[in-house]
Amino acid sequence: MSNIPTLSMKRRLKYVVVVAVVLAFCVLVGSLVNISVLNYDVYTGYANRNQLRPTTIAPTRGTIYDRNMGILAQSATVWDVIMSPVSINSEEKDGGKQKQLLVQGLSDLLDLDPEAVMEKANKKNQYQIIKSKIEKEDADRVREFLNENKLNGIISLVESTKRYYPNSTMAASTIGFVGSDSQGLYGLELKYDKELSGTPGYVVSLKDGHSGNDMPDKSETRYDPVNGNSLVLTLDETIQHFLEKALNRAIIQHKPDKGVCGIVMNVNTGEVLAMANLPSFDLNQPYTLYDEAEKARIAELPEEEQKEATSAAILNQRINKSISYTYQPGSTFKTMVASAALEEGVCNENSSFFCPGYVQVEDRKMKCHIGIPGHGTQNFRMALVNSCNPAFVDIGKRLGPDLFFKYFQAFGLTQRTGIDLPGEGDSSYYNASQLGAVSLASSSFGQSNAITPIQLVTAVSAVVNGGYVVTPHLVKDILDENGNVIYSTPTEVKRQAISEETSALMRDMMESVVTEKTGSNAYVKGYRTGGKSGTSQKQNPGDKEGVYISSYIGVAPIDDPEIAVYVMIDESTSGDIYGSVVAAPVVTSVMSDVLPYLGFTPKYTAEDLETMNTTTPLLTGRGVLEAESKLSAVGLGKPKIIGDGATVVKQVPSVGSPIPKDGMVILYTEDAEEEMVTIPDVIGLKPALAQSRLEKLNLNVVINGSDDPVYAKITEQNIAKDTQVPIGTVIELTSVRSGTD
Amino acid sequence: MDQQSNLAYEYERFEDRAPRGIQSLQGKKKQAQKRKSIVKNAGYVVMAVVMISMLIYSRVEQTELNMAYNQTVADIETKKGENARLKVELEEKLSLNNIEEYAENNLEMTSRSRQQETYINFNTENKVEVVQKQSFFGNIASWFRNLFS
Repeated sequence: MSNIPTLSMKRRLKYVVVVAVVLAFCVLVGSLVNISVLNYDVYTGYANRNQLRPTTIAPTRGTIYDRNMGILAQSATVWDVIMSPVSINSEEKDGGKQKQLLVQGLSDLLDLDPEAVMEKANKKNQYQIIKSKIEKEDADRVREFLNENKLNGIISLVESTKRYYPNSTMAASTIGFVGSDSQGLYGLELKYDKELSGTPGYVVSLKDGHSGNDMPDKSETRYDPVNGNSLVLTLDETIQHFLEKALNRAIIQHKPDKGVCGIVMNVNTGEVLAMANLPSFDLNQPYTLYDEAEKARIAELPEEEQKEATSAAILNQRINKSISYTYQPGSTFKTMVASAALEEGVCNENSSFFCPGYVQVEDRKMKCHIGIPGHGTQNFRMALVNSCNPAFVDIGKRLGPDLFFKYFQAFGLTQRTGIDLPGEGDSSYYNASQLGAVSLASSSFGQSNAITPIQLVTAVSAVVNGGYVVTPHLVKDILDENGNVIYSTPTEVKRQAISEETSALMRDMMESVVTEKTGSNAYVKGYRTGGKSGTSQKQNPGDKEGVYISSYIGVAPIDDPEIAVYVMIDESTSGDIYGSVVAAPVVTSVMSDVLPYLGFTPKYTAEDLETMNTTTPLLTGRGVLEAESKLSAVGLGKPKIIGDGATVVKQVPSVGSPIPKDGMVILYTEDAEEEMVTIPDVIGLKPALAQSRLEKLNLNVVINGSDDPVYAKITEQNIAKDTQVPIGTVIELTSVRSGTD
Repeated sequence: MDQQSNLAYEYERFEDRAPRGIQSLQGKKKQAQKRKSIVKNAGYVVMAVVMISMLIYSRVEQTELNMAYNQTVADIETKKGENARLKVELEEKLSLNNIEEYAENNLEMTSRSRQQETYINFNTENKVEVVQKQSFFGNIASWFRNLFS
C-alpha cells in the first residue's frame, strides 16, 4: 500500500477544509451581524458606558446690579480642598512623616487648626473636605506646596463657585444670599432664583483608559450651559447709602430696642429706590451675628442660653421689617382717613372740629396726645396738622364703618402689595361688620388695624400721586448673559382710590403739616415737602407695655411728588418717642441728600438764605488788611488776629469750612501755638443757649435742624464734649423740635 | 555517489556544469534581483512604518492639541472667574462707605454744604442762531442743495 495520498483524498480534504472555513466564516459573520446590526444599540451602550464620560458644565449665576449697573452680587470661581486620607502613606511605611508634613503644610497655608486637619487625615475614607471656597491665591499656594512635596495624589482642588457681595451689609435683607450650592435662600436671590440660576451644560466625550483624558472624536457632543440671567434693580446704591447713613445715626442717637427700617420709593411708578433694615448683617457671612450690641447682650446671658440666643439673633437679623412686620401705623394713617372723608364729601376743608383733649366713645375715654385742654376749635386742615385724635374720631364716625372699610380696601391695605420679595406680611384689620363704635374710633387714628411699612408707603403714594395705587417692585430689568434686556417691569396701577382733586388737596394739607409749625423737624431748606408723623403704641402679642413705634413719611416735591421717604424707629430708648421728634429728622436728613442727587434744584426763601452758612475763604498768605477785606466781602465779621506779623500764616477755620454768617475767623500772623479750648456738653440745651455758651469760648456754631426758639433742643454735637480744639473751630449742632404728634 | 576515485580528472563530473561565466552572471543577476527585492521590501516596510508612525503621530498631536485646547478653555474660565472676583474686590474698595471714610479720615475732607453749590439754569426754549455769511461759491452750492431738498 502506498503512503502517498491519492487525488481523491486530496479533493476530499480540500472540500472538508473549504466547508470548515466557510462554516467558520459564516459563524464569524453571523456574530458580527448580531453585534453590529441586530444588537447595535445594546453593544453601543456597553461601549459608550465604558468609553464615554459626561462632564457637567456648571452655569454662572447671574449678577445683581443696582439701577446704575453697580455690582451688588456676583459669582466667581473658587476651589474646595479635598483630601483622600486612604492615599496617605501608612505609619509603618515612613513613620507618619508624610501625614505630618501634609497636615502642617495645609494648616499653615489655609489658616486651619492642625488638630482638626489631623483628625480628617486619620479617617479611613477617600473624601474629606479640608476647606471649601478658597480663592485663587490660596489655591495656587496649595498647588505649589503639593508639587514641591509630591502630594498631588492625596489632595485635589475641585472647582466651585462663590457669591460675592461687594457692599457687604448694604440692603442685605433685600438682596438676600445663596447657599453652598449657589441656590437662592433669601430675599431677591430666592425670589428670582430660577432666572439667576441658569441651566447646566454637558460634554459627552471619549476618555482614555489611563487617566481619563479627552480623546478627539467627531462624535463628541456638547451642550453649552445657559448662564443665569442678571437682574437690574430699581435700588440706587447712592440713595441706599444716604438712607442707611441716616438710619445708623438714628440708632446711635435713639438706641431702639427693635431696630429701624426705611423705604424710599417713587410714588408714580412704585420703583423702590432704597430699602433698609438695621441692624443689618454681612451678606458674605450670613450665618454670623453682625450687630455688636446684640453680641454684647448675648455674652451677658448664661452660657447654656447663649447658643440658642445667637441662633435666634442670626435669624432675626435677616428679617425684612419693611415688608414683613405689621404694626399699628398711628397718625400716619390719618392721611388715608382724611382722603376718604374729602373724597366722600363727609368733610371739607372748612369742616369744624372741637378737641377738649379727649373724646368719650361708649365706655372708653380716648385721649388726645396734647392732653387737656386740647386743641380747641380747629378746621379740617388744622386737625391734620395738629394730628388731633378726637377730630379724627369724629371724621371716622362721619364716614361710618362701610365707607371706612371701603377706602381701607381701596388703598390696598387688605391685601399684600405684591412686591417682588418673599415673606411679605399680611395686614390684620377689622372688616366693615366688625367695626363697632370703639374699634372705628381707634382705627380712625391708626391704633387698631395693623399694616406693613410697604403697605403704608404704597397707600400714602396713592394719596399724593393722583389717587393711583401702584405695585411696588425692586427689579427694573432682567438681562440675558449678553446684556440684552429680556424683560422690563412695567408700572402696574391696580386702581384709583381717590380722585385727582382730592389728591391735590391732600398734597396741600400735607405741606401744611410741615410748614404750619415753626421750626418743623421735617422742613428741608430749599424744597417744598409734605408729610405726616406717627407715634403708635405697640399692641402685637408679645409686645411689652408702654413701648412705641415712631414713624414719619415724607413726600417731595409736594407740588409734583416724585419720592416718598419713610422711616420707622422701633422702641426708641432715648426718652423721645414721638415720630415728629425721632423719625422726622431722619427723613429730613435723607431728603436733604436725595433731592439734590435726583436733580431737584433748591429754591431758597429769604429766611433760608439768612440762616444759611457761608464758606471760609482762603486767607493764608494774604496780608492782614487784604484778609479783613476779603472776609467783609463774603459777609463775615472782623477776624481775631493773633500775632504782630503782617501776613497771615494760619487760619481757623480752614479754607472751605462752613461758617455761620456772623462767625469769626482766627488769623495767626506768626508761628504761635494755637489757643485751645475744651468743648462743653451742650446736648439737651436750647439752641440759643448752646450757641451762646460755645461762642463765649470763641468757637463758631452751625445749627442744623429746627430753629424753634421754644420747643427745639440740641440732640447732637459733631465734636464730643471734653475734646480740646483750637479757638475758631466750627462746631455743628443738630437741633430737633420736641413736642407731640 | 561515491566520490572516491583514482582518476585525476573525472570529466563526467563537470559535464552538466554550466559554463563558469554564465553561471556567475546568472547568480549575480539573481543576487541583484534578490537584493533589489530586499530593498524593495525594506522600502515597503519602511514606508508602512513611516505611514503608521505618521498616523499615530497625527493622532498624538490631535490628542495633545485637544488637551491643550481644553486646558486653555479651563484657563479662560479660571481667568474669567478671577476677573469677576477682582472686579468685586474693586467694587468693595470703592463702596460709598469706604470712600466717605477715607475722604473724612485720611484726606480731612468734609461733605459740601448747600451754600457751596451754585445752580445754573440753561434756557432751552428760544434759541438764536447767527447765520455765517457765505462766500459766492458757498451760495451757489446752497442753491443746488436746496434744489434737491
